[in-house]
Amino acid sequence: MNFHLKIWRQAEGNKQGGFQDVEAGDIPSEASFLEMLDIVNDRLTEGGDEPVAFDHDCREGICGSCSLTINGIPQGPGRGTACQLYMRKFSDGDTIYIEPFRVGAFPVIKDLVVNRSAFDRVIAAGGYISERCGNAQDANDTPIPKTVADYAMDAAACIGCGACAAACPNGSAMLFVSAKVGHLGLLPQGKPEANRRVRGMVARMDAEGFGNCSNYYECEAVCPAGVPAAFIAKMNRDYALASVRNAVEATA
Amino acid sequence: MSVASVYKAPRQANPLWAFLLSSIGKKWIVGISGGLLILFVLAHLAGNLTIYVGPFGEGINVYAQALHANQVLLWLARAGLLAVFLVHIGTTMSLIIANRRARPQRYAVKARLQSTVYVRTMALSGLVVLSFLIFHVLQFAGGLSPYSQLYDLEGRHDVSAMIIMSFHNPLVSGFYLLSLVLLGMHLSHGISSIFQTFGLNGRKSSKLIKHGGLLVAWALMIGFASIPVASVTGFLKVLPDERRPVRELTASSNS
Repeated sequence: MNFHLKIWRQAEGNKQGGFQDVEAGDIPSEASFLEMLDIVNDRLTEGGDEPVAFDHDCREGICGSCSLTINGIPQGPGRGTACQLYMRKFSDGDTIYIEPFRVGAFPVIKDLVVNRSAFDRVIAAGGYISERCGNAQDANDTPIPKTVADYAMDAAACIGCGACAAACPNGSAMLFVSAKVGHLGLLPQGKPEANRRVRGMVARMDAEGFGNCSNYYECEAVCPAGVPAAFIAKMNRDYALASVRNAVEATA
Repeated sequence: MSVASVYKAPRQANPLWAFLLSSIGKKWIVGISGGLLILFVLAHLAGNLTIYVGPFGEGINVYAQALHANQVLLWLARAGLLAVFLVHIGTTMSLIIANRRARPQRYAVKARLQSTVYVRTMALSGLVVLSFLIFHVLQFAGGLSPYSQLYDLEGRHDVSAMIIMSFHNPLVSGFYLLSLVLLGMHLSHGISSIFQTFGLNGRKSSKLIKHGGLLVAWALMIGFASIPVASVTGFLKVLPDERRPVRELTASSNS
Protein backbone atom coordinates (compact mmCIF):
# COMPACT_ATOMS: atom_id res chain seq x y z
CA MET A 1 0.00 0.00 0.00
CA ASN A 2 1.11 3.57 -0.62
CA PHE A 3 0.50 6.54 1.64
CA HIS A 4 1.27 10.25 1.59
CA LEU A 5 2.35 11.06 5.12
CA LYS A 6 2.43 14.53 6.60
CA ILE A 7 4.53 14.07 9.72
CA TRP A 8 5.08 16.76 12.36
CA ARG A 9 8.80 17.40 12.78
CA GLN A 10 10.12 19.49 15.62
CA ALA A 11 13.80 19.33 16.61
CA GLU A 12 13.19 20.48 20.18
CA GLY A 13 10.31 21.64 22.32
CA ASN A 14 11.21 25.31 22.08
CA LYS A 15 11.91 25.24 18.33
CA GLN A 16 9.38 25.92 15.59
CA GLY A 17 7.94 22.73 14.11
CA GLY A 18 6.32 21.94 10.79
CA PHE A 19 5.00 19.17 8.60
CA GLN A 20 7.33 17.03 6.52
CA ASP A 21 5.92 15.29 3.46
CA VAL A 22 6.97 11.68 3.36
CA GLU A 23 5.95 9.19 0.67
CA ALA A 24 5.46 5.80 2.29
CA GLY A 25 5.35 3.34 -0.60
CA ASP A 26 5.09 -0.41 -0.60
CA ILE A 27 3.76 -0.76 2.96
CA PRO A 28 2.26 -4.17 3.81
CA SER A 29 -1.41 -3.90 4.74
CA GLU A 30 -0.84 -6.10 7.81
CA ALA A 31 1.71 -3.62 9.24
CA SER A 32 0.62 -1.79 12.35
CA PHE A 33 0.79 1.98 12.31
CA LEU A 34 3.97 1.92 14.36
CA GLU A 35 5.50 -0.74 12.10
CA MET A 36 4.72 1.50 9.15
CA LEU A 37 6.63 4.29 10.93
CA ASP A 38 9.49 1.81 11.58
CA ILE A 39 9.70 1.12 7.84
CA VAL A 40 9.61 4.85 7.09
CA ASN A 41 12.34 5.47 9.67
CA ASP A 42 14.55 2.73 8.19
CA ARG A 43 14.28 4.38 4.80
CA LEU A 44 14.93 7.85 6.25
CA THR A 45 18.00 6.55 8.05
CA GLU A 46 19.29 4.81 4.92
CA GLY A 47 18.85 8.06 3.01
CA GLY A 48 20.91 9.87 5.64
CA ASP A 49 17.90 11.68 7.16
CA GLU A 50 16.93 11.99 10.80
CA PRO A 51 14.34 9.31 11.72
CA VAL A 52 11.00 10.40 13.15
CA ALA A 53 10.90 10.28 16.95
CA PHE A 54 7.74 8.68 18.35
CA ASP A 55 6.77 7.06 21.64
CA HIS A 56 6.09 3.35 21.90
CA ASP A 57 6.69 0.50 24.28
CA CYS A 58 4.60 -2.65 24.57
CA ARG A 59 2.94 -2.47 21.15
CA GLU A 60 0.16 -4.62 22.62
CA GLY A 61 -2.27 -1.82 23.37
CA ILE A 62 -1.87 -1.92 27.14
CA CYS A 63 1.00 0.34 28.15
CA GLY A 64 -0.33 3.69 26.93
CA SER A 65 2.97 4.90 25.50
CA CYS A 66 1.62 5.69 22.03
CA SER A 67 0.96 9.39 21.64
CA LEU A 68 0.14 9.93 17.98
CA THR A 69 -2.70 12.05 16.68
CA ILE A 70 -3.62 10.47 13.35
CA ASN A 71 -5.80 12.52 11.00
CA GLY A 72 -6.91 14.60 13.97
CA ILE A 73 -7.81 11.64 16.19
CA PRO A 74 -5.59 10.92 19.20
CA GLN A 75 -4.61 7.20 19.06
CA GLY A 76 -6.03 7.07 15.55
CA PRO A 77 -9.41 5.99 14.19
CA GLY A 78 -11.21 3.14 15.92
CA ARG A 79 -11.13 2.05 19.55
CA GLY A 80 -7.69 1.16 20.91
CA THR A 81 -4.20 2.59 20.82
CA ALA A 82 -2.19 3.62 17.76
CA CYS A 83 -0.10 0.45 17.99
CA GLN A 84 -3.26 -1.60 17.50
CA LEU A 85 -4.18 0.32 14.37
CA TYR A 86 -3.34 -1.55 11.16
CA MET A 87 -2.67 -0.03 7.78
CA ARG A 88 -5.48 -2.06 6.20
CA LYS A 89 -7.81 0.35 8.01
CA PHE A 90 -6.70 3.01 5.49
CA SER A 91 -7.19 3.11 1.75
CA ASP A 92 -4.37 2.92 -0.74
CA GLY A 93 -3.15 6.41 -1.62
CA ASP A 94 -4.54 8.06 1.56
CA THR A 95 -2.96 11.20 2.92
CA ILE A 96 -2.32 10.74 6.64
CA TYR A 97 -1.56 13.61 9.01
CA ILE A 98 0.52 12.55 12.02
CA GLU A 99 0.78 15.08 14.83
CA PRO A 100 1.84 14.86 18.46
CA PHE A 101 -0.73 15.15 21.28
CA ARG A 102 -1.39 18.88 21.45
CA VAL A 103 -1.94 19.79 25.09
CA GLY A 104 -0.26 22.72 26.80
CA ALA A 105 0.59 20.53 29.79
CA PHE A 106 2.24 17.96 27.46
CA PRO A 107 5.15 19.89 25.94
CA VAL A 108 6.69 18.44 22.79
CA ILE A 109 10.11 16.88 23.41
CA LYS A 110 10.85 16.03 19.81
CA ASP A 111 8.75 15.36 16.68
CA LEU A 112 5.84 13.23 17.89
CA VAL A 113 7.11 12.65 21.43
CA VAL A 114 5.48 14.66 24.21
CA ASN A 115 6.30 14.87 27.90
CA ARG A 116 3.38 13.43 29.85
CA SER A 117 5.01 13.74 33.28
CA ALA A 118 2.13 16.03 34.27
CA PHE A 119 0.02 12.88 34.62
CA ASP A 120 2.62 11.34 36.94
CA ARG A 121 2.56 14.44 39.12
CA VAL A 122 -1.25 14.28 39.26
CA ILE A 123 -0.98 10.64 40.38
CA ALA A 124 1.64 11.62 42.97
CA ALA A 125 -0.86 14.11 44.41
CA GLY A 126 -3.10 11.32 45.69
CA GLY A 127 -3.70 8.64 43.06
CA TYR A 128 -2.64 5.79 45.32
CA ILE A 129 -3.49 3.98 48.54
CA SER A 130 -1.03 4.72 51.35
CA GLU A 131 -1.57 1.56 53.39
CA ARG A 132 0.48 -1.48 52.51
CA CYS A 133 -1.90 -4.21 51.45
CA GLY A 134 0.25 -7.10 52.73
CA ASN A 135 -0.07 -10.61 51.37
CA ALA A 136 -2.88 -11.71 49.13
CA GLN A 137 -6.08 -12.18 51.12
CA ASP A 138 -8.54 -15.00 50.85
CA ALA A 139 -11.09 -14.40 48.15
CA ASN A 140 -14.10 -12.38 49.31
CA ASP A 141 -12.39 -11.41 52.58
CA THR A 142 -13.34 -7.86 51.77
CA PRO A 143 -16.89 -7.99 50.45
CA ILE A 144 -17.37 -5.82 47.35
CA PRO A 145 -20.57 -6.03 45.32
CA LYS A 146 -19.96 -7.36 41.84
CA THR A 147 -21.48 -4.26 40.22
CA VAL A 148 -19.18 -1.97 42.20
CA ALA A 149 -16.14 -4.08 41.39
CA ASP A 150 -17.06 -4.05 37.70
CA TYR A 151 -17.62 -0.29 37.69
CA ALA A 152 -14.30 0.32 39.46
CA MET A 153 -12.66 -1.92 36.87
CA ASP A 154 -14.13 0.18 34.05
CA ALA A 155 -12.22 3.16 35.44
CA ALA A 156 -9.13 1.15 36.35
CA ALA A 157 -8.88 0.16 32.68
CA CYS A 158 -7.36 3.62 32.08
CA ILE A 159 -3.81 3.20 30.74
CA GLY A 160 -2.90 6.85 31.29
CA CYS A 161 -2.01 7.49 27.65
CA GLY A 162 -3.36 11.05 27.61
CA ALA A 163 -5.54 10.69 24.51
CA CYS A 164 -8.45 12.15 26.50
CA ALA A 165 -6.60 15.41 27.11
CA ALA A 166 -5.30 15.40 23.54
CA ALA A 167 -8.81 15.02 22.11
CA CYS A 168 -10.36 17.62 24.41
CA PRO A 169 -10.77 21.00 22.70
CA ASN A 170 -9.94 22.49 26.11
CA GLY A 171 -6.91 20.29 26.77
CA SER A 172 -8.65 18.99 29.89
CA ALA A 173 -7.44 15.93 31.77
CA MET A 174 -10.75 15.32 33.53
CA LEU A 175 -11.36 11.84 32.12
CA PHE A 176 -7.93 10.62 33.23
CA VAL A 177 -8.15 12.18 36.69
CA SER A 178 -11.75 11.06 37.18
CA ALA A 179 -10.83 7.50 36.19
CA LYS A 180 -8.12 7.41 38.87
CA VAL A 181 -10.26 9.13 41.50
CA GLY A 182 -13.19 6.90 40.54
CA HIS A 183 -11.65 3.47 40.65
CA LEU A 184 -9.87 4.03 43.97
CA GLY A 185 -12.82 5.84 45.54
CA LEU A 186 -15.28 3.09 44.69
CA LEU A 187 -13.40 0.35 46.53
CA PRO A 188 -13.16 -0.08 50.32
CA GLN A 189 -9.35 0.06 50.24
CA GLY A 190 -9.44 3.50 48.64
CA LYS A 191 -12.31 5.04 50.59
CA PRO A 192 -10.45 6.28 53.70
CA GLU A 193 -8.35 8.66 51.59
CA ALA A 194 -11.05 9.49 49.05
CA ASN A 195 -11.59 13.12 50.12
CA ARG A 196 -7.92 13.96 50.36
CA ARG A 197 -7.28 12.20 47.06
CA VAL A 198 -9.86 14.02 44.98
CA ARG A 199 -8.89 17.43 46.35
CA GLY A 200 -5.19 16.80 45.89
CA MET A 201 -5.46 15.42 42.38
CA VAL A 202 -7.80 18.16 41.16
CA ALA A 203 -5.56 20.86 42.63
CA ARG A 204 -2.54 19.31 40.91
CA MET A 205 -4.47 18.94 37.63
CA ASP A 206 -5.31 22.66 37.73
CA ALA A 207 -1.74 23.62 38.64
CA GLU A 208 -0.40 21.65 35.67
CA GLY A 209 -2.40 23.91 33.36
CA PHE A 210 -4.94 21.43 32.03
CA GLY A 211 -8.17 22.98 30.80
CA ASN A 212 -11.69 22.67 32.17
CA CYS A 213 -14.39 20.24 31.14
CA SER A 214 -17.06 21.70 28.86
CA ASN A 215 -18.79 18.35 28.38
CA TYR A 216 -17.74 17.88 24.76
CA TYR A 217 -17.24 14.15 25.52
CA GLU A 218 -14.56 13.84 22.82
CA CYS A 219 -12.39 12.16 25.50
CA GLU A 220 -14.89 9.33 25.89
CA ALA A 221 -14.90 8.81 22.11
CA VAL A 222 -11.11 8.40 21.80
CA CYS A 223 -10.33 6.62 25.09
CA PRO A 224 -8.64 3.34 24.09
CA ALA A 225 -9.86 1.79 27.34
CA GLY A 226 -13.44 2.98 26.89
CA VAL A 227 -13.62 4.84 30.21
CA PRO A 228 -17.08 6.47 30.30
CA ALA A 229 -17.43 10.22 30.89
CA ALA A 230 -19.88 9.40 33.68
CA PHE A 231 -16.76 9.17 35.87
CA ILE A 232 -16.26 12.91 35.31
CA ALA A 233 -19.74 13.48 36.73
CA LYS A 234 -18.83 11.31 39.70
CA MET A 235 -15.65 13.32 40.27
CA ASN A 236 -17.55 16.63 40.04
CA ARG A 237 -19.80 15.36 42.82
CA ASP A 238 -17.01 13.80 44.88
CA TYR A 239 -14.89 16.96 44.65
CA ALA A 240 -17.74 19.22 45.77
CA LEU A 241 -18.64 16.94 48.69
CA ALA A 242 -14.96 16.60 49.69
CA SER A 243 -14.60 20.40 49.61
CA VAL A 244 -17.63 20.81 51.85
CA ARG A 245 -16.25 18.27 54.31
CA ASN A 246 -12.90 20.01 54.22
CA ALA A 247 -14.51 23.38 54.91
CA VAL A 248 -16.51 21.94 57.80
CA GLU A 249 -13.40 20.31 59.26
CA ALA A 250 -11.44 23.55 58.88
CA THR A 251 -13.99 25.47 60.93
CA ALA A 252 -14.39 22.73 63.55
CA MET B 1 16.98 22.55 65.70
CA SER B 2 14.58 19.71 65.78
CA VAL B 3 13.00 18.33 62.65
CA ALA B 4 9.56 19.22 63.91
CA SER B 5 10.35 22.91 64.10
CA VAL B 6 11.79 22.95 60.57
CA TYR B 7 8.79 21.24 58.99
CA LYS B 8 6.12 23.67 57.94
CA ALA B 9 2.69 22.42 57.10
CA PRO B 10 1.56 23.71 53.70
CA ARG B 11 -0.47 26.88 54.12
CA GLN B 12 -4.11 25.94 54.10
CA ALA B 13 -5.95 28.14 51.64
CA ASN B 14 -9.47 29.15 52.59
CA PRO B 15 -11.38 25.96 51.66
CA LEU B 16 -14.29 27.87 50.13
CA TRP B 17 -12.03 29.93 47.87
CA ALA B 18 -9.99 26.87 47.00
CA PHE B 19 -13.18 25.24 45.76
CA LEU B 20 -14.59 28.26 43.94
CA LEU B 21 -11.32 28.96 42.13
CA SER B 22 -10.73 25.33 41.10
CA SER B 23 -11.65 24.07 37.65
CA ILE B 24 -14.52 22.01 39.02
CA GLY B 25 -15.66 24.77 41.38
CA LYS B 26 -15.97 27.20 38.47
CA LYS B 27 -18.03 24.65 36.60
CA TRP B 28 -20.32 24.42 39.61
CA ILE B 29 -20.72 28.21 39.57
CA VAL B 30 -21.59 28.13 35.87
CA GLY B 31 -24.00 25.25 36.51
CA ILE B 32 -25.73 26.90 39.47
CA SER B 33 -26.06 30.27 37.73
CA GLY B 34 -27.19 28.53 34.53
CA GLY B 35 -29.76 26.56 36.51
CA LEU B 36 -31.09 29.75 38.07
CA LEU B 37 -31.32 31.34 34.62
CA ILE B 38 -33.24 28.31 33.35
CA LEU B 39 -35.67 28.74 36.27
CA PHE B 40 -36.04 32.37 35.22
CA VAL B 41 -36.70 31.31 31.61
CA LEU B 42 -39.38 28.91 32.90
CA ALA B 43 -41.05 31.60 35.02
CA HIS B 44 -40.79 34.09 32.15
CA LEU B 45 -42.47 31.63 29.77
CA ALA B 46 -45.25 30.95 32.28
CA GLY B 47 -45.81 34.72 32.51
CA ASN B 48 -45.74 35.15 28.73
CA LEU B 49 -48.32 32.44 28.17
CA THR B 50 -50.89 34.46 30.14
CA ILE B 51 -51.23 36.46 26.89
CA TYR B 52 -53.51 33.65 25.72
CA VAL B 53 -55.99 34.52 28.52
CA GLY B 54 -58.77 36.94 27.56
CA PRO B 55 -60.03 38.10 24.14
CA PHE B 56 -57.32 40.74 23.78
CA GLY B 57 -54.62 39.10 25.87
CA GLU B 58 -55.67 40.86 29.07
CA GLY B 59 -54.18 38.00 31.08
CA ILE B 60 -50.68 39.34 30.60
CA ASN B 61 -51.81 42.87 31.57
CA VAL B 62 -53.09 41.51 34.86
CA TYR B 63 -49.88 39.53 35.32
CA ALA B 64 -47.73 42.58 34.52
CA GLN B 65 -49.67 44.74 36.94
CA ALA B 66 -49.19 42.16 39.70
CA LEU B 67 -45.50 41.93 38.85
CA HIS B 68 -45.10 45.71 39.14
CA ALA B 69 -47.21 46.00 42.30
CA ASN B 70 -44.22 45.87 44.61
CA GLN B 71 -41.44 47.96 43.10
CA VAL B 72 -38.96 47.08 45.84
CA LEU B 73 -39.33 43.35 45.24
CA LEU B 74 -39.27 43.85 41.49
CA TRP B 75 -35.99 45.77 41.55
CA LEU B 76 -34.48 43.30 44.01
CA ALA B 77 -35.41 40.48 41.64
CA ARG B 78 -34.00 42.40 38.68
CA ALA B 79 -30.74 43.10 40.52
CA GLY B 80 -30.49 39.45 41.51
CA LEU B 81 -31.11 38.35 37.94
CA LEU B 82 -28.46 40.74 36.64
CA ALA B 83 -26.00 39.46 39.23
CA VAL B 84 -26.68 35.86 38.18
CA PHE B 85 -26.13 36.83 34.53
CA LEU B 86 -22.86 38.56 35.33
CA VAL B 87 -21.63 35.59 37.39
CA HIS B 88 -22.60 33.16 34.61
CA ILE B 89 -20.88 35.20 31.88
CA GLY B 90 -17.86 36.20 33.97
CA THR B 91 -17.10 32.67 35.15
CA THR B 92 -17.59 31.28 31.66
CA MET B 93 -15.15 33.84 30.27
CA SER B 94 -12.55 32.89 32.85
CA LEU B 95 -13.03 29.22 31.89
CA ILE B 96 -12.71 30.01 28.18
CA ILE B 97 -9.48 31.95 28.76
CA ALA B 98 -8.03 29.06 30.81
CA ASN B 99 -9.11 26.58 28.12
CA ARG B 100 -7.42 28.57 25.37
CA ARG B 101 -4.21 28.59 27.41
CA ALA B 102 -4.45 24.86 27.98
CA ARG B 103 -4.35 24.25 24.22
CA PRO B 104 -1.78 26.76 22.93
CA GLN B 105 -1.12 24.97 19.64
CA ARG B 106 -4.03 23.85 17.50
CA TYR B 107 -4.14 20.69 15.44
CA ALA B 108 -3.62 21.12 11.71
CA VAL B 109 -6.33 18.48 11.24
CA LYS B 110 -8.94 17.92 13.94
CA ALA B 111 -11.63 15.29 13.72
CA ARG B 112 -14.95 15.79 15.47
CA LEU B 113 -16.01 12.59 17.10
CA GLN B 114 -19.10 12.90 19.24
CA SER B 115 -19.31 16.54 20.34
CA THR B 116 -22.63 18.11 19.40
CA VAL B 117 -23.12 21.29 17.41
CA TYR B 118 -24.64 22.73 20.60
CA VAL B 119 -21.50 22.44 22.72
CA ARG B 120 -19.28 23.74 19.94
CA THR B 121 -21.39 26.88 19.58
CA MET B 122 -22.00 27.64 23.28
CA ALA B 123 -20.02 30.90 23.26
CA LEU B 124 -21.63 32.08 20.02
CA SER B 125 -25.18 31.19 21.06
CA GLY B 126 -24.59 32.79 24.44
CA LEU B 127 -23.36 36.03 22.87
CA VAL B 128 -26.30 36.27 20.43
CA VAL B 129 -28.75 35.61 23.26
CA LEU B 130 -27.01 38.29 25.34
CA SER B 131 -27.26 40.88 22.55
CA PHE B 132 -30.92 39.95 22.10
CA LEU B 133 -31.53 40.34 25.84
CA ILE B 134 -30.14 43.88 25.83
CA PHE B 135 -32.48 44.81 22.97
CA HIS B 136 -35.39 42.89 24.53
CA VAL B 137 -35.08 44.63 27.91
CA LEU B 138 -34.75 48.08 26.30
CA GLN B 139 -37.73 47.40 24.04
CA PHE B 140 -40.26 46.07 26.50
CA ALA B 141 -39.11 47.02 29.99
CA GLY B 142 -37.18 50.14 29.01
CA GLY B 143 -40.08 51.68 27.10
CA LEU B 144 -38.24 51.84 23.78
CA SER B 145 -41.21 50.21 22.05
CA PRO B 146 -43.50 52.72 20.26
CA TYR B 147 -46.44 50.80 21.72
CA SER B 148 -45.47 51.08 25.36
CA GLN B 149 -48.00 53.78 26.26
CA LEU B 150 -51.29 51.98 25.60
CA TYR B 151 -53.91 51.15 28.24
CA ASP B 152 -56.63 48.54 28.22
CA LEU B 153 -60.32 48.75 29.18
CA GLU B 154 -59.52 48.45 32.87
CA GLY B 155 -56.91 51.18 32.62
CA ARG B 156 -54.00 48.74 32.98
CA HIS B 157 -50.86 49.08 30.93
CA ASP B 158 -51.72 47.16 27.73
CA VAL B 159 -48.67 44.86 27.64
CA SER B 160 -50.53 42.50 25.30
CA ALA B 161 -50.94 45.19 22.61
CA MET B 162 -47.30 46.24 23.00
CA ILE B 163 -46.12 42.67 22.40
CA ILE B 164 -48.49 41.80 19.56
CA MET B 165 -47.97 45.06 17.65
CA SER B 166 -44.19 44.86 18.09
CA PHE B 167 -44.19 41.39 16.58
CA HIS B 168 -46.01 42.70 13.49
CA ASN B 169 -42.63 44.22 12.61
CA PRO B 170 -40.86 41.37 10.75
CA LEU B 171 -37.47 42.56 12.00
CA VAL B 172 -38.57 42.30 15.64
CA SER B 173 -40.22 38.89 15.27
CA GLY B 174 -37.37 37.67 13.06
CA PHE B 175 -34.67 38.61 15.57
CA TYR B 176 -36.83 37.16 18.33
CA LEU B 177 -37.19 33.80 16.57
CA LEU B 178 -33.50 33.66 15.64
CA SER B 179 -32.53 34.35 19.24
CA LEU B 180 -34.94 31.63 20.40
CA VAL B 181 -33.25 29.11 18.11
CA LEU B 182 -29.88 30.06 19.59
CA LEU B 183 -31.23 29.99 23.15
CA GLY B 184 -32.66 26.56 22.35
CA MET B 185 -29.23 25.43 21.19
CA HIS B 186 -27.63 26.91 24.31
CA LEU B 187 -30.06 25.08 26.58
CA SER B 188 -29.78 21.87 24.52
CA HIS B 189 -26.27 21.62 25.89
CA GLY B 190 -26.88 23.53 29.11
CA ILE B 191 -29.67 21.53 30.71
CA SER B 192 -28.00 18.12 30.44
CA SER B 193 -24.63 19.67 31.32
CA ILE B 194 -25.97 20.79 34.68
CA PHE B 195 -26.59 17.16 35.57
CA GLN B 196 -23.06 16.22 34.48
CA THR B 197 -21.47 19.13 36.38
CA PHE B 198 -23.34 18.36 39.59
CA GLY B 199 -22.62 14.67 39.19
CA LEU B 200 -26.29 13.81 39.16
CA ASN B 201 -26.07 11.43 36.22
CA GLY B 202 -24.67 7.96 36.08
CA ARG B 203 -23.76 5.76 33.18
CA LYS B 204 -27.30 4.51 32.74
CA SER B 205 -29.11 7.83 33.14
CA SER B 206 -26.73 9.80 30.89
CA LYS B 207 -28.68 9.11 27.71
CA LEU B 208 -32.03 9.81 29.32
CA ILE B 209 -30.77 13.13 30.70
CA LYS B 210 -29.26 14.09 27.35
CA HIS B 211 -32.49 13.48 25.47
CA GLY B 212 -34.63 14.91 28.26
CA GLY B 213 -32.55 18.09 28.22
CA LEU B 214 -33.04 18.44 24.48
CA LEU B 215 -36.78 17.89 24.82
CA VAL B 216 -37.19 20.46 27.60
CA ALA B 217 -35.04 23.03 25.77
CA TRP B 218 -37.01 22.89 22.55
CA ALA B 219 -40.39 22.64 24.32
CA LEU B 220 -39.55 25.91 26.07
CA MET B 221 -38.55 27.51 22.77
CA ILE B 222 -41.79 26.38 21.09
CA GLY B 223 -43.70 27.98 23.95
CA PHE B 224 -41.89 31.30 23.46
CA ALA B 225 -42.07 31.14 19.65
CA SER B 226 -45.82 30.57 19.72
CA ILE B 227 -46.41 34.21 20.70
CA PRO B 228 -44.80 35.95 17.69
CA VAL B 229 -46.33 33.30 15.44
CA ALA B 230 -49.78 33.83 16.98
CA SER B 231 -49.30 37.61 16.67
CA VAL B 232 -48.32 37.60 13.01
CA THR B 233 -51.01 35.10 12.02
CA GLY B 234 -53.69 37.14 13.78
CA PHE B 235 -54.55 34.51 16.37
CA LEU B 236 -53.72 37.03 19.09
CA LYS B 237 -55.81 40.16 18.67
CA VAL B 238 -55.17 43.72 19.84
CA LEU B 239 -57.87 45.80 21.49
CA PRO B 240 -59.30 47.98 18.66
CA ASP B 241 -58.34 51.64 18.91
CA GLU B 242 -62.00 52.85 18.86
CA ARG B 243 -62.69 50.91 22.06
CA ARG B 244 -59.51 51.98 23.76
CA PRO B 245 -60.14 54.54 26.55
CA VAL B 246 -58.40 57.86 26.12
CA ARG B 247 -56.11 58.25 29.08
CA GLU B 248 -55.99 61.77 30.38
CA LEU B 249 -52.56 63.25 30.62
CA THR B 250 -51.95 64.17 34.20
CA ALA B 251 -48.95 65.46 36.06
CA SER B 252 -48.29 61.98 37.43
CA SER B 253 -48.27 60.43 33.95
CA ASN B 254 -44.87 59.86 32.47
CA SER B 255 -46.03 60.61 28.94
